[in-house]
Amino acid sequence: MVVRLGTLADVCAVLRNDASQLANTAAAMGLRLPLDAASAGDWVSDCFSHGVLLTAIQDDPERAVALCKASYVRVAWRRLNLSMWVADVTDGLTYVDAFVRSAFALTDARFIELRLADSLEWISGLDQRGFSKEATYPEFLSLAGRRVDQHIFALHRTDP
Amino acid sequence: MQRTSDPFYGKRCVLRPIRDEDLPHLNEMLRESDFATAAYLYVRSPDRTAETHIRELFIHSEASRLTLGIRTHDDVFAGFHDVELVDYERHRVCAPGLFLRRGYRDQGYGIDARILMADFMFRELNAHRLVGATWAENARSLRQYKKIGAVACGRLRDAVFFNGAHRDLIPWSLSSEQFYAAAGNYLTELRGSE
Repeated sequence: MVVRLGTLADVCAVLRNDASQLANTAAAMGLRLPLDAASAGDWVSDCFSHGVLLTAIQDDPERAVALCKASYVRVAWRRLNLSMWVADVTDGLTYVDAFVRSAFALTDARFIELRLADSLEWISGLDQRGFSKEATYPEFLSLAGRRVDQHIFALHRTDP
Repeated sequence: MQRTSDPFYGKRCVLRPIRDEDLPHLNEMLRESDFATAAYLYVRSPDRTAETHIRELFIHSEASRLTLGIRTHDDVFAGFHDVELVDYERHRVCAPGLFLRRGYRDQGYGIDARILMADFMFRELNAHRLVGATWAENARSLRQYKKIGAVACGRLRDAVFFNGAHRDLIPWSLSSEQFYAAAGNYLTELRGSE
């Protein structure tokens, strides 16, 4: 698996090739991803101009399996919010690991926050990766016609 | 429950759109040190407390934010209450925030305003949940949320930074059932008094 820190061109290419697949699973995670090439380009440019980290994760040079985005909620708080779009909604843990390492290496964030829908099976494995579940908003999301809890996980730089 | 002709008329206060004449009060609030601490969502840098910014925030605010002034029954501006609609068309979740001027706290305006706004969100805008996060030291705010039925749902360690330190946030959530179980009597009294 290749973890590439996205240049603007890289991420745009990923979105051109794989946006539909990533966006299909985004809904299941309570996220959105722009589908058409024009708005995707604007979205990526906007991310880059605001200091957002975007990373394409590929299992081979031709195919993206995940797109990860990390942005400061507020720089002064040193708190990064992580969003992920994955090709296979049943898996995400591997990409979390890969991306979190990059995000901590590239920033001085104290911790990384990950907000995920309760419906994702793989989130039960996050605690083994050092994440702690710090809060649960009950019935926060409406996904595929049903109410789903949203969990807030955090991984602090100093956590073991 | 009988519907009121004015959903924003409470026992202690009235919620009204922000007026031009309120702007100096808002500017004054944003410069109060305790409010500047509280309003970390609003004030990104001190120089942004100029009138144009205040106007943007409170009068020409974006469609996803509803902001109302809190006025006493004597028509004095006492603070404001806003609600951010969080991806509302999909999830029908909203996040309220309330700020009172010095001299108007601990007199019942805050709880009154919170009840009016929550009732409006559930009854008229069909909100599924009200959610938010209050920093752990803000006992007044936490007490008020508890009074309207909100339930704490975790603790976010070191989630915000102000006044020289990282501080925890207490996230909370409020359903319609929880709200009307806690505030139903208040609303019945209010509607009955009209």
